[in-house]
This record gives sequence, structure tokens and C-alpha cells, in this order.
Amino acid sequence: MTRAIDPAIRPEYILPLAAGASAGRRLRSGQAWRGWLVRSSVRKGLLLAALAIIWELAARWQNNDLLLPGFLQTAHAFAEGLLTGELPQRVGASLAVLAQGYAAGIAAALLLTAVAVLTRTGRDLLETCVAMFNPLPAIALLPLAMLWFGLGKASLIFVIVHAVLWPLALSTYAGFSSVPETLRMAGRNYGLKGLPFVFDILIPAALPAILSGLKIGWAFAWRTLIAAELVFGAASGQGGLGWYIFQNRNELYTDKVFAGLAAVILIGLAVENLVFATIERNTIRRWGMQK
Amino acid sequence: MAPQTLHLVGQQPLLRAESVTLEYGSATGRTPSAPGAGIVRAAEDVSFDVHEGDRFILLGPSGCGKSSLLRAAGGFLAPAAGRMTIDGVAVTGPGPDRIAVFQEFDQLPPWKTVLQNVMFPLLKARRLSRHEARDVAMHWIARIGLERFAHAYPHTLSGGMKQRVAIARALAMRSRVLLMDEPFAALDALTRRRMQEELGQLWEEERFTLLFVTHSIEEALIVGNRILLLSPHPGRVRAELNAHQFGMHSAGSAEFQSAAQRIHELLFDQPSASQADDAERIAL
Repeated sequence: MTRAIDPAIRPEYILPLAAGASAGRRLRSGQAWRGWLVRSSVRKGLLLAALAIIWELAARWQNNDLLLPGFLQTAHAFAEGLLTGELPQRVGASLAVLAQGYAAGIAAALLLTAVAVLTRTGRDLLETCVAMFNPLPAIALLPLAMLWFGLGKASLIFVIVHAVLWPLALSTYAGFSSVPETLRMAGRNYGLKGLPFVFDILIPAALPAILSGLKIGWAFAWRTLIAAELVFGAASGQGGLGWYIFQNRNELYTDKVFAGLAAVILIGLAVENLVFATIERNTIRRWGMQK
Repeated sequence: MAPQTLHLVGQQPLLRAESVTLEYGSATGRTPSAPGAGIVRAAEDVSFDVHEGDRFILLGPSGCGKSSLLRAAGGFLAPAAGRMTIDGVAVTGPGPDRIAVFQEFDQLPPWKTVLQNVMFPLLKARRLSRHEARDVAMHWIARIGLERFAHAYPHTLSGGMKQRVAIARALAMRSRVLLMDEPFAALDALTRRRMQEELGQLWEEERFTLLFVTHSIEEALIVGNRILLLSPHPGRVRAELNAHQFGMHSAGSAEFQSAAQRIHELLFDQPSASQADDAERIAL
């Protein structure tokens, strides 16, 4: 009747405890080559080279230096700009303004969010202000800034602060709100409250969100600055990168315009891949807060 | 065991809950847009005394308010009625005299190494110098057997190791009472066993005072010397029992099984109250 099959009874066995861990395998040479291709920096480099070749070919086919200078011509103008010192000087002028505006924006954002997490009025203020001002393009405030602060650094800094403040405040506040309840209780358990609580618990715990806010703020600030410099630049006789682009377009040095644009892109890439990547590697990745 | 019990009666309790009622709801601003749906009563008229050196267990099914009671003792939650006192002084907020160990692993700041984690409250709350804090922290890290991982970040540790760090961090503070909220509930069964054993050993050596929340009858009997049974919705006291006679070694014994069975019946309302009273007298 019972069709069930009992599994066979097998002998037991116990192995002696093995000492030491087994060594990992080594990559074979073929795998090493494939590993090199798998690295994203290599793949991206190849992609960029391909794009440069296409650009150069398109420029030669178009054959009009005024409209579209080729990659080699742009590279030449770029190198020339570097050697004469004009480009570094313009970049320096832009970055100096940017650094001041960015720092002021960060300070304002931190102050605003600290008040927002500590008081209810501060929270209402932050939510209202972010809702109103975050969708407003910073460059749209430039005419007003020029009216208030004149054609100078102050106007540029004003629009940069506006570009940085709201996105950074928004993501910092979101980061603070998502700090785990347990971690908050642990902090309060040690008697931390007020600003020490913000600095010892909330800011490090919200660092992934804060860093992403800083990245967004940086990108907004950089593009706002270049755009603002296109409108006015040489007020104090020392224009920035945007002014360099504008000026050279007026004089129909299109290759220099391209060189200026390349500088804008290169600086953006450098900040993203060197500055922020280094910060992330040494903080949130090291701590396992971001994969 | 009787003389010890008699001795304790004359002593002033360390932590005391006096008719504590705990409520969650619109009062705390969590659900401002739900009129009437508001208030949930987590615990009602709960009283208990924790004496120095106790391993006092709050035991009950989910919804009995045991974690809320522990939070009230920690000062994280203000009672709607009644009060918690420590050394006769009412608890008004969190403080380093009552260090808590939670179930969640994220109680350890991920940006601090094991050593920095243990040092953190020593620097902030006990205001030790960096040098002293380091020595104290290393001592406790050695006690829990994690010297090799002193400079590791929490995300590289296993769950059991993380809880050990949290326990070391709490013990290093030498607080008046340790509050543990199901600290082993998120661990696998084998690790949990070992952690219960280690906690018992640490208590043997240090004799700290412990308020421990659990929903496991076995864990309550193994870890505790005194168990407060709570019934759910809202949390009310069902019984207060002794468990000092049980430890890790007695986990399989007949008395242990019958004690577990008795608690089970009390929690799930089987026998009459008089039977429970009889049993209580026998246990004493």
C-alpha cells in the first residue's frame, strides 16, 4: 500500500577542523585583459576618442572654420590659451567668484536646515522658501541683482548663492529627515541636543544626501556663473570664462569659443571625478553608507 | 534564594514605574490630519520596581507596550499619566545614566569605527579625556572579544558583532541601569544563544542593573531574574514572576519547561487566577 520510499541510512562522518583559510585564485592573463576592458574609465576613454574622431571628420566635411572648428583646431586653440596664460587667468577669475558664492551658499543652507530641524517655525520657513525659490532659475534673478548690486562680483555671488542654497537645503533637509530613529535616540541618550546633535549625529548620518546636494549645487552654480558672465563680465577689467567665450564669439574666433567651452566641461568633470569622487570614497563609501 | 528576596524588600528600588500610562497619537503630532483616529494607548497603569543588580524582564506579545515602557524609562517617551523615577528622581528626558541598546543595527553610527563608537559616549557624556576614553573603550572591546576589529567600520561586521559593540558601548558608560530593547531579536538562533550566554557571563562579573525587553519566554527565563508579564491592547501587568533559578545550563530541564509552560498559560489566559497565585507562592 505505502509507496513511500525511505531514504537509505548513511554513515555519519566528522572532519577535523581545517587550519587557515584557502588562498584566493589568481587571475589568468586572458582574464586580466578582459578585466582591463571592463574598467569603466577605459571604456569611457575609448568612447570619448570615438566622439573626437567623429567631430573632426564632421568639421572637415563641413569645411567652415567660422561655424565648426575641428577637434584638432580646438585643441590647438586650447593649448595656445593655456600657454599664453589667458585661459588659466580667466578660469581663475571664474573659480574665485564661484568659490565665494558656493561657500556662502553652503553656509546659508546649513544654517537654514539646522534651524529647520530644531524649530517648527524654521521647518515651515524652509519648506515655504524651497517651494518658492527652488524652481526659480538663478539666472532670472540676474537683472534684479544688477539693479541692486551693480555690474560686479556682488551680483555674480548673489545669483550663485541662489543657485546653491535651495537645492542644497532641500537635500540636506531630506537627509536629516531620513536619519534612522534608533540613531537619533542613541544620540539623545548621550545627552546630545541642539547644535551638537546636528553636528555629531545628523550631518554625518545625512552625508550621502548632503553630498548629492553639494554636487547638484555645484553644477547649478557653475552653469549659472558661466551664463551670468555671458551677460556682463569685464566690469573690473578681469572677466571670467563666460566673458572669454562671449568676447571671442564677437571677434569670430570660433576655435577659442570651443576652447572656452571645453574648459567649462573639463572643470566640471574634474570637480565631479576628482573632488567629489575623492570625498565620497573617503567618507560614505568607506563607511558603507553608499555602495 | 528566599533570604535574598527578603533582603531586597528593605531596599530602595533603583528604577520605579508608578502607574505609568503611555499613549501615542495626535498629541505627539504624528498624525495631525486624522481627527478621532488619534490616540493609541500602549500601556495602562503599569507599576514595577527594578532593584540594583536586577535583570528585570518585560515580557509579552507584540502590542503589550513593553518597548514603549522601556522608552519611557529611557526618557524618550513622556508618560500620559504616572511617572518613572530613577533613584527617586522623576525621569524627564534621555540621559547617560540610562544607556539603551536597541534591536536595530543602525544604532551604531556607520561613520565611526568600533573603537570610535565605544569612545563616542565616553567623550560626549562622561567627558573623559581622549586618552582615558581610548583605554576604557579598548578594555571593553577586549571584554567582548573584538580587539581584532577595533578599527573596523560597523558595515564590515556581522549582526552579532554589531550588537556586541552596542553592549560594550553601553557597559563602558557604567550607567545606573542598562536598557535593552530585544537586542538579540534580529540575530540568528545560534548567535542569539551565544549572546545570551555572554550577557549572563558579563552580568556575573559586573553585576550591572538591566531592564530587558523580549517577546521570547525562553530568553526571559534565561536572561532574567525577575519577569514582568504584560498582556496586550493596552499593555497591563499580568504577573510578576521570579526566574533567578534559571540560567543557560537549565534551559532543557523539567522545571524550566514547566516555568515556560506556566508563563505561556498566563499570557494566553488559560488557567484561573487563583492557580497562578498558588504557583507564585511556590516559586517564592
